[in-house]
This record gives sequence, structure tokens and C-alpha cells, in this order.
Amino acid sequence: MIEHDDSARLLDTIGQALKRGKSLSIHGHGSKAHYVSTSSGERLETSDHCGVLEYRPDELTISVRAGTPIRVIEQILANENQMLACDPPQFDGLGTIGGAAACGLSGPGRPWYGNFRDAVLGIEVVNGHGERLKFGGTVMKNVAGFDVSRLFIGSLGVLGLILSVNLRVQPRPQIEKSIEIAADADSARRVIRQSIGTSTPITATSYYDGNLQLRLSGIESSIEAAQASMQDAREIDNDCWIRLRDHTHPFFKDKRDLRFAWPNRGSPWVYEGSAARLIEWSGGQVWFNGASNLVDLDQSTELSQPFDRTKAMNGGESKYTRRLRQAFDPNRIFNADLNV
Amino acid sequence: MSLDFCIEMLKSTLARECVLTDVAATTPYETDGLTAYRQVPPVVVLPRDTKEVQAVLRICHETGVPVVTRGAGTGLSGGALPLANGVLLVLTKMNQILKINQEGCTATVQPGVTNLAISQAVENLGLYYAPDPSSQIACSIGGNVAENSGGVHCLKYGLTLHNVLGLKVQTIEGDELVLGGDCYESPGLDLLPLIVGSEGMLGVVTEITVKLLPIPPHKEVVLGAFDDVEAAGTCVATIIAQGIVPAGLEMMDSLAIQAAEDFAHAGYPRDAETILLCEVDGTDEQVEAESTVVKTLMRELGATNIQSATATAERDRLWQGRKAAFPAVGRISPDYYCMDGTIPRRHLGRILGEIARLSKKHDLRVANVFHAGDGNLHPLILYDASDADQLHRAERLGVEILELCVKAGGTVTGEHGVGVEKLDPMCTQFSDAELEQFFRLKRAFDTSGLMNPGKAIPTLAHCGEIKGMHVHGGKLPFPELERF
Ligand SMILES: Cc1cc2nc3c(=O)[nH]c(=O)nc-3n(C[C@H](O)[C@H](O)[C@H](O)COP(=O)(O)OP(=O)(O)OC[C@H]3O[C@@H](n4cnc5c(N)ncnc54)[C@H](O)[C@@H]3O)c2cc1C
Repeated sequence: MIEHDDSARLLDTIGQALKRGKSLSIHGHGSKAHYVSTSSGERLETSDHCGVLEYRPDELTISVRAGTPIRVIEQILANENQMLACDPPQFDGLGTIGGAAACGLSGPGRPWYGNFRDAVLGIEVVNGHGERLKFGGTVMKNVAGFDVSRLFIGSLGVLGLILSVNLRVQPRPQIEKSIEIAADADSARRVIRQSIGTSTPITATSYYDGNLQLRLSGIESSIEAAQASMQDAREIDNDCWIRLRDHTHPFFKDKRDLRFAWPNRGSPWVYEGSAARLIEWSGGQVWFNGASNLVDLDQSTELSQPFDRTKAMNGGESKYTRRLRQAFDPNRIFNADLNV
Repeated sequence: MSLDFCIEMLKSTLARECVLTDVAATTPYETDGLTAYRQVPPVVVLPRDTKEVQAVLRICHETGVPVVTRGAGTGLSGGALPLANGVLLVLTKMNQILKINQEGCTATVQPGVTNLAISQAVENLGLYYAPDPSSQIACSIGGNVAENSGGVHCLKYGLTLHNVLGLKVQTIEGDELVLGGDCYESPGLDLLPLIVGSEGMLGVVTEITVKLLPIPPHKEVVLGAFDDVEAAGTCVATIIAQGIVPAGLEMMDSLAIQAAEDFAHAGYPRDAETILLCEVDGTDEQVEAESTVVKTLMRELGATNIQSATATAERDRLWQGRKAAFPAVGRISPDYYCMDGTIPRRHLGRILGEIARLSKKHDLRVANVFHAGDGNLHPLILYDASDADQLHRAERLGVEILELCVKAGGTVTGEHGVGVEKLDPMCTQFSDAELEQFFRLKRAFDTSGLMNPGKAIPTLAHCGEIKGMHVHGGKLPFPELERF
């Protein structure tokens, strides 16, 4: 694996931009170019700033430079029988850890493993003053100072450049099995609800086209017990979760009218409309494809606004978001045209 | 405008019983859990709902009077220490559970609800709220959010941050921030982690939506006694490295064991140098498999005594001593000073050795009872506050312990917060530029510096004094900026 400290060049470019009053557009692998639009300004490429700074399997922590491909990190962790404690997408098999941090997206394991923010222990950034700053650390519990490291997750690079992140990692489950059950929405919902009460070792769910898919992770005896309790379940390939995470699942084939929502769990199951629907996260995230009007969803339990997940939010920024940008990057040198 | 005018306005806006100015009524609020610091507040307000909180903040903003928020006042770093010239905003009257969503496994509550009350309210649904600070019968969920509190079960289930889904926050400028909610994610910059752990410096938390978890069907507590601290430290690191994440993994040293046994009679082996308490939970099969590995590791690493318990009463007995450890230590010394540094687990044995050395050097006893699985140390420094020299030595010893933690790659506070107490060691942990960034961030929420001023982040001038170095030519960087 390539190890390279490109921070001197990055800091120098930032310093130059500051001096000349220019702005910079931060780029990783471009795997999420469909999600974040490109800001104007000189390109600041992070992918040469890569490599593992420290990996401590015994501490369940890894520190990596922002340009390191997620795929490479996964491989290194797998060698020690460990994995990331979150599930960021790697569209087209690409994606740097810095890009994943800046976008903060989550895959199918989100409710069980947490999101990227939950896995972050510390960060090193360059702010809009050109200062290199460290927040958080490598220990699990740390409440010294404001939690700036987690503020950066999902910030789309508007607060500053992420140089490296320290992440919590987790042991790989002894066994991972995926099963599929033919079910209508009601019974799918019931299976999931029952499994909550019985500590069934579920780590991902998806419901699409009359099929409920579940990922079971844990020790063999637990999984066997869970499998035995689910009649008519047939075993399927674990790769289905990667397809779902990276949007190569057939549902995502035509992305024109793709919308998604994070509903209050419970409501997405009741839907009479015509759009194709895929429900993840035990009902915590729902995707619709092919509907122009999505408001016919059950509103009774505070369903969140459906968002267009194919794009990062591009609405008006709140007063405090604007002020925070000002606090970190007063001259707007980073991703100036983006709104978060 | 004066404090007097502010108090007048508060009195004319809120009900009479919600504004206290009589010294007899305000004195109970002079200190939080860090009793070495005291300040009787000139006025205490007890709002009953969010509207009243907003009214108090508006009055403080208009009159330029600073405000300190207080939950139950169990904080151990002086975060809720009143100001001589400010308002103390106490949230204990806001103690309603607003909504329980069984299918979504969430509860929405007011900030004055105690931590334990949430779990009690959902117990009949087979659910509970996971973070469990030892103070859980008393501390408020609002205070937990403000401190990002931890507890015995945070090793597996995360800190307050990982268990809070939504917040409503009132800013001093009169805005309500609605962050997150009843669902997993929300769009926009994620301000929630910024508010969690912000020690009342950015806004007042008035509503909290927490994640609830199903009560695990099976649990087992394993006690391992060691006659070597180093071996117990290794055992902790090995359990985790084996791929087991116990629900809790706690450690007590011999001084703490003696004190706890005298007080709680949990049946701990008194002759042990150290004990480990390890709880595993989950399905029957999982508990069986994990506890077997834990016991085997303990045996291999030289445990002299291993006990285990699966029945509720027996498990409670084993936890009893740990849970009563702080008050138990309180009985063997007139005062104790609780530290809260965190270190990477692999250094546990070494740092405990170093602490023992420092304890001898300063001639003060130190009892250790702590969250070993997280590497979160709680050395309890025993001293007598009526002896000025002992107090001074206790503070020196505390600072040296925290410096050890930072040097080992850790932090000066794992869960108790900085407050007024750890301003000095913050200067060791952060650079001037980092501290300045914290202030800029604070000003984004609190331009006039009225929210809990003087806490949590040391000024550069303060750090300059601490480090005994003079800021360049007597000038601070950014002299135009206000310091608070
Ligand atoms: C015996 C004992 C054991 C303890 N054990 C643990 C433990 O195991 N783990 C742990 O983490 N802590 C522990 N603590 C510390 C303490 O209980 C926690 O920090 C707790 O979260 C504080 O809650 P509180 O309601 O008492 O807050 P307070 O002490 O009243 O306030 C703490 C801070 O939060 C701010 N604040 C309070 N409420 C709000 C609000 N609604 N909005 C904005 N700011 C607010 C205050 O300004 C202050 O800065 C222990 C304390 C004691 C005395």
C-alpha cells in the first residue's frame, strides 16, 4: 500500500489561496460526485495524502490519512479479523476515508453499527486560517473541549480540510449469514418487530419487492437459533449488502426519480402508492423510485420530509451553520459554493 | 444594565416561586458535585417549560447578564458552579417524559428527568436507556447531554452521544435549534455532537429524544481477582483484543476493595490486589460463549479467584460493591478528589504503577475504581480539606496524573467534563490555535459570551500563566477578541 505524507503541499496550497484570496475545491476519488456538486476554485486533491498512521488492533483503533482508499483500510483490518465500526458506501468500489468522513453517508448496517460520526474518535484538520489543528484523540471516552471531530463528519468540506481521522474499529463477527423471506410489508414489519424483543443478532435489513432480507452476525449458535426460529427463510449471498450500500442493487438502476426519507420507524411500511419502495434500517430509511409525488406517505407519525438523496442538501443555510463556517473558514476558501 | 434590573425583570415575568433570591433559598445551589468550589448565586430561576427558559434567556441577553445552566448539580467538574454576577438557571422543574415510541424504540423527555427515570418508565415494554452513570438516580438527562456522560455499560453501548437521537436547544439570542429527531439521520451540518458535551456553553437543552434498547435476555457477571495490577491490566486489553466487547469491564484496586467490602459486603476477595468485574450480555448462547472465554483468559493470566453470577440477585451483589465504591471511599477519608483521565488500554498497568509512585511522592492515598474497558481512570485522591497543605498536594497530584494521561496519548477528561476544574490541564492537551478555535466556535452560538462564561475552555492568557511563559511581548494573538 502506498504511504505518502502530502500535508506540506496541502498546507502550502491553502496558504497560497489565503494570500491571494482564492478559493479551493476539495476532491478525493470523486466517487460521490453525484452527491456533492463541485465547488469553483482551484482543485485541492487529497488522494496523495494517504496511508495508515497507526493501527492498534488491541485498542480497536486506526488512524489514517484522508486520501487512503476505504477498500485498502478494510483489507488491513480484515487481516486482523476486524472491520470498520461503520458502513460507508464506496460507490464504484472507490472512495477515500476523507471523502466518507466529509459526506457522512451510511450503509445498511447503520442502526446496528452506528454512523461514521459515531465511529470517529479524533481528527486532524486545516482550518481557513491555514492552521493545522487536532481534536479528540484515539481513546474511546474524551470530553475535553467541544466535539469538533464529529462536527466535521458530513460537513462536505466547508469547515476545513480533513487531513486524517482516528476511528474506532470492531471485531469481525464470527459468522455472517444472510437470509431471505418472502413476505408482504405487514409480515416483514412483524418479523423485524419480534426480532427486537428476542435479541436476534440482526445487523442489516432490507425489504423490497415482497422479499425481506436479513443479515445475521454473531456466534454460530446464536445464528443457528435465529435461523431455526424463522420458517421459510432461505440463505442468500452476503454480497447483497454491498450492492445495496453502493447502489448497484437493481432498485437503483434508474436514478431519475430517486427519493429517500428517514421516517420515524414504523410509518414506511404503510404505503399504497405506485412508486417502487425499498426499506432499510428496520424501517429507519426508505427509498422510493419512480414517483413524482411522494407526499402520499403516511404522515401520521411525523414522517420526515422526503429528501433527494442523490444530492446533498442544497437549501438555505441556518444562521448557526453560517456562523460556524465563519468561525472555521472566515474567508470561505474551502468549497465556497457549497451549501450544507 | 445591572443585575438588579435583570432580577426585577425575571420576577415580573415568572411566577413568584420560580425566582429565588433569598440567601436561605439560593445557598443550596452554591456548589455542584465538586464541592471544593462554592459561590452563592444572586438569583436562581426554575422555569417550568421551554417558553419560560426562552424568557429567562431573553432577559439575560437584553440585560447582558451571564447565565449558568444547572440540572441536578451532580457534575464533578464545577460546570454548574454559579457566578457572583449571574443567573443560575435550574431545570429540575422540567421533569416530564413527553413521549414514548415503542416501535421506534425512542423516548422524548424534558431535561430535568433523571437518567434512571427513563429506564424505569419503559421497563414494562422490555426496553431501557443504556448509558448509566453511577449518579443515575440523581443526575438529569439534560446534564448527561451537556457532559456526554458515560457509565459502566458504555463500553458496549456507547456514551450519551451514541444514544441521543434528537435535541431541542435554546440559544441566548432566542433561537430554537431542532437537531436530529425521532429518526436516524437528518440533513445539514450535524450540530448535535457539538451540543452534546458542550457544558452549557452554547445553549440550553430543553428536550431530548433518546434511543431505547431491548433489555438483554441474559447477562452474566464474572469477577476475577488478581494479585498483580499489571496482570489485571493485561487481562483487560486481552479480553478486548480477543474480539469480545463486554457490556461492562470495571477494575478496583485493593484500597477500593477494602472500602467497598466494609461498606457493601459484596463478597469480594479482600486479599486481592485488584479485581476485574466483567459483564457480558445477549442471547443465552452468546453469554455462554463469551463468559467462557473471559473466564479462561482470567485463569490463564493468573487470576487467583474467579466468581460468576447469572441470577439477578447474585449479579446485583457483585455489582453492589462497585456501585457503592465512591461513597465507600468517602467513609475512609474526610475528602476525596475524583480524577477522570482516559488512556489507551494497553498502558493501564504501567500508568497505575506510576500513579502509585506519585501517591507516595505526595504522601496521599489513592484508590482506583474505574471503567477499565474504556481506559477511563478514576483515581480517588484521599485528603483532608481542612489541611491546606493536603489540599494543595491533592491538587498537584491530580495535575500530575492528568499530565501522565495526556503523555500516554489520552485525555484529561473521559466523562466528567472540564468545568472550572480542568482548565489548567486543558492548556497541556491543546495548542493555542486549537483553544482559539474553540472560542470562535463558542462565539458562533453566543456572540456576547453570556453562556456559562469562564468554564470548559481556558483563555490563552490563563494558559500563559500556567505554563509560566509569557505571551509574546505581553501581547496576545488576536488582542481585539474578547476573552471569556
Ligand atoms: C457519585 C457520583 C457518581 C458519578 N458517576 C458518574 C459516571 O459514572 N459517569 C459520568 O459520566 N458522570 C458521573 N458523575 C458526574 C455527573 O453525575 C454527570 O456529569 C451528570 O451528567 C451531571 O448531570 P447533572 O444533571 O447533575 O448536571 P449538572 O451538574 O447540574 O450540570 C453539569 C453541566 O451541564 C450543564 N447543563 C446541565 N443541564 C443542562 C441543560 N439542560 N442544557 C445545557 N446545559 C446543561 C451545566 O451548565 C454544567 O456545565 C457522577 C457524579 C457523582 C456525584
